[in-house]
Amino acid sequence: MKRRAALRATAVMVAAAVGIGLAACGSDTEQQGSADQADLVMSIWGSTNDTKTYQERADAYTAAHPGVKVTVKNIPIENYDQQVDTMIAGGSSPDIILVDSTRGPALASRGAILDLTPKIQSAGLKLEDTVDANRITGYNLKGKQFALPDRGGNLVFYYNRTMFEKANVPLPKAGWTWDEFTDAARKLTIVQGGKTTQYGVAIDNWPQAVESVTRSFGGTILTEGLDGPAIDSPQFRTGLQTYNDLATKLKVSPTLQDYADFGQNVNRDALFAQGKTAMIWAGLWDIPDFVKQGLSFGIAPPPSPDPVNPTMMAFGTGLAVGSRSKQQDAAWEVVRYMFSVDGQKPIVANQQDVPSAKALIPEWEKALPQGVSYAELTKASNQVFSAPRPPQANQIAKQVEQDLYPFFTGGATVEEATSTAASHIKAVLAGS
Amino acid sequence: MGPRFVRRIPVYVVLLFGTALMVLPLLWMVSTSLASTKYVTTFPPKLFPDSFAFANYGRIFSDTDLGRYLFNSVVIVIPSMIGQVVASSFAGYALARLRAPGRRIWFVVTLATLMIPYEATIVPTFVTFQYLGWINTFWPLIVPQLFGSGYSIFLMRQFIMQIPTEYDEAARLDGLGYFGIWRRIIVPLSVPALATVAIFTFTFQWGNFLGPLIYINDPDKYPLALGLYAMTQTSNVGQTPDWNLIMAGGMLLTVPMVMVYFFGQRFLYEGGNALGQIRV
Amino acid sequence: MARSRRSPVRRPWSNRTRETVAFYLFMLPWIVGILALYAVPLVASVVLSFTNWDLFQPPQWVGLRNYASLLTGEGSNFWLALRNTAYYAAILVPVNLALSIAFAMLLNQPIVLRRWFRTAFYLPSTIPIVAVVMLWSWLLAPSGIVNSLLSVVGVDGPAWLVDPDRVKDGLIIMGVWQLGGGVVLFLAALQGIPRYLYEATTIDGAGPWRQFRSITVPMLSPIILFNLINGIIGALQVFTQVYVVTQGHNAGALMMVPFLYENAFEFNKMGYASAIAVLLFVMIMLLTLVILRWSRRWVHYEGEVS
Repeated sequence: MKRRAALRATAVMVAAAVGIGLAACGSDTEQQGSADQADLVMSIWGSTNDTKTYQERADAYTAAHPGVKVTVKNIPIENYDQQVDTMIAGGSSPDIILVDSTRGPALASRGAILDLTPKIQSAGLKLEDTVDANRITGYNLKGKQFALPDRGGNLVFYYNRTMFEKANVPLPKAGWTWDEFTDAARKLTIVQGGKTTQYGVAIDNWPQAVESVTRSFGGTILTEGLDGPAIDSPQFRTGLQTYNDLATKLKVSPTLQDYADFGQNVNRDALFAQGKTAMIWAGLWDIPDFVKQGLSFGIAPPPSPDPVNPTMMAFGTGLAVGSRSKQQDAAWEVVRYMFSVDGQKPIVANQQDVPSAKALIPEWEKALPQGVSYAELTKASNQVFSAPRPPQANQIAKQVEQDLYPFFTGGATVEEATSTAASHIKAVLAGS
Repeated sequence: MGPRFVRRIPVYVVLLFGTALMVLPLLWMVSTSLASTKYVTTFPPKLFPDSFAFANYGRIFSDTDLGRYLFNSVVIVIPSMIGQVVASSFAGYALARLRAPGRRIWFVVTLATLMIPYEATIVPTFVTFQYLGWINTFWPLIVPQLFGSGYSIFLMRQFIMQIPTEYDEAARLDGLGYFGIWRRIIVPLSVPALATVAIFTFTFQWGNFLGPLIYINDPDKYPLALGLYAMTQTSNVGQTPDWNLIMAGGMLLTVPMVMVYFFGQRFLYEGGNALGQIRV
Repeated sequence: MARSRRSPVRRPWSNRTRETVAFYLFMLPWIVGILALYAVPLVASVVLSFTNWDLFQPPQWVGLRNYASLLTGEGSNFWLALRNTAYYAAILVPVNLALSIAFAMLLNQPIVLRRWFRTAFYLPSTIPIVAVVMLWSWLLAPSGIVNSLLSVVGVDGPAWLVDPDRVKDGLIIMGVWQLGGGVVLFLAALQGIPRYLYEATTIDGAGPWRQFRSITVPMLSPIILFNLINGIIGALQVFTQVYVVTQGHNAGALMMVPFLYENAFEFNKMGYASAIAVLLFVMIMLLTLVILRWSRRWVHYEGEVS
């Protein structure tokens, strides 16, 4: 009797295993619908303004092609990679996928997003006519164009005009030095009764700012060939140390510990919005929220310790087509439209971000809120750099963030933290 | 106030201190949820806000998606509870009462499943649900609950074993079959254990985070716990989280749990007592 | 009570067969569950752990490479995750056990407002972890309530939840706050101890400590064992707190399940993650078996009270 139960159990297990195996074999993508009849899903991350803008751009396409509808799904950025992967692997791949230069290579190397090169060629599309050439390479992996540039922009430096004027400190401008910056930060820090009530600047361990600042000191995370760590170089260490000294030594910025006093997940952007800091490194997407808070602020290039090095990491996003999308043709047409000058107009109208289309830049500058001028940034346009990424970019980014964390909280020296990170990066690149 | 009370003063002191530690954080949560500003930055935090913005509780339904998250949670929790209760009661009855070859083995296997962490099987389970096309649906969260679980079955079996077998005999003489006995004797007499299983399932599913995090991608389908978490993440995209509304959402997540416990606690004590007779 | 509509005579099977069939019918959902949710996936986990699979390309057989790189690979985070998890479990589980028993005994006294006190102690354990973290990230903030209280007694409180060396302690504090579930189980068990056992020893002149040692602890021992095993399994599986507090950016709180999660669902290293899952399972199984074996020395079942 016992044996029979065991036999039956085995039979059921085998049947289940076979079922799984069969299902595994039958998951090929078959194309459905046509380029002018489709229900598409587009995955994005960002604010409610981002959702609104992408939906507007999609609806503009629908207006011209009534058969094609696009639903924009906004996924929290912390889970974006994981959830998009899950959707793709789960057979419900988004048709259009918003990527950036960190997530794109990983998706492309796994074959999760389509190589658009053939489509670009057969459409006779010249990307350089619409956008700057250095924007295009950010979405290129080994000669394969995996996304079309969508939003442009780069890391910039925000300052609270009211605070500067009150303290009678000259406003940040193109080419200002690190010393001028720390001097301003000192003057803008207000301490009352042993408690800092206003910070000169707010820094934290935000990877893009870390990468930009260390780059301005000549340091990079990876070697030029992307085949090894450079994070333990003297340049990177000096940059990182000088950056964090703002919080720990000069005390003109909150430390990570201080941030925790403002509440869970309150970061530099939130402190600036609340009028608690005079300066931050941030992306241009913050503008609408700061305007909504009624702040009087301006933007400028970040301080530069050495004019030969760039200071501003190129951001921006690209639009990719899911390789497991069942409606790739329709998705490609929408992406192509969104890439066009017309398709990018809502980015300007909603002050969402910088459009990648060159032709729209003057209009974008004009649409900036009152008092916010792009003039200083235009002067420093040579300070923008793009960082090429290996396919393991997201694992490296997370590992570096983990390894530098103890340095930012004061538990490890810059040498210890960067050495740990370097050995981890080696291991990741070696494929473990 | 007799001498008995005086002798117990230290007990009261300790208990009051413990109660304060347990309850004060909650009061603070309530007070924050009623704050009128979204920047909750006063330190030390005030236990009572300057003004009570009861409107926050209306705003969580008009200004945020919490109403939808709440609905999703309910849709996930109810079938899970029903499934767990029925399946566990079935298996618990079989293991406690019915003699069959293999019964002891199945009981040992049931206990052994307690040692298998959810995470140990998470990758193949995920892959299976993916092939079934269930990603981004509620099925991966609900279906595993429909088979019972080692813990609830064990609890049911322990409880049913305490029910005198004379009831079964009497029912059998009345002509009831096994299903009839389960339906008319076991179910009515094991209400505390059934309620305990229901409460545990509710507790698990209501607060479940990892499952939805893995399986649900569409923000419209987020259950409350994950949705609330997503709301705290907005500062990464240049927005300041509305802490007062998030805390109000936290209350939305908490109050049903507290109510379930409050109305179910007498069952919990009876049901939990069955575990006192554990013999592993 | 409705009488049976079927005559018992017509049944073709023997009583024994009928009972067996009924047993398996009642067990059917659970047996399917055991196979579909435990047995097959567990075997599949083991198989997958020998492969390299990113969910997109077909899996490749790599033998023991995942285990080798987990256990001995340069820059492997496995031991860090294990150390952190062990620290968390080794403090949280005993502290919770001791405090649960202590509070259960206090709450078992004939005191006024007993029901209210009990509810107060159980309340925190009903709160979903996402809400608990939201709450405690304020309370444990560097200038939060906890540190304000500590500074009253002259202690300079750390940056709980931020400092990599302290974040585990912060998580432990949250875990202790939620000890109510254990208190309920112990209370239920305490109420099941017959009064006469205590009365008999009082006549013998035994003090409260001896009563506790020779009656309460032995009588509670099955529940202690249950809570011990459950507590350890739960602590080794901690995920939500860690994820919500750190989003995986603070290596001081890198624990086994978050480590598994990031490899499986962030880096798409399904084979590698399966190897972590298998190691986690083996650890839990071995620990449970060791504790069960050890428990024979101290767990007393009814009728065995010394």
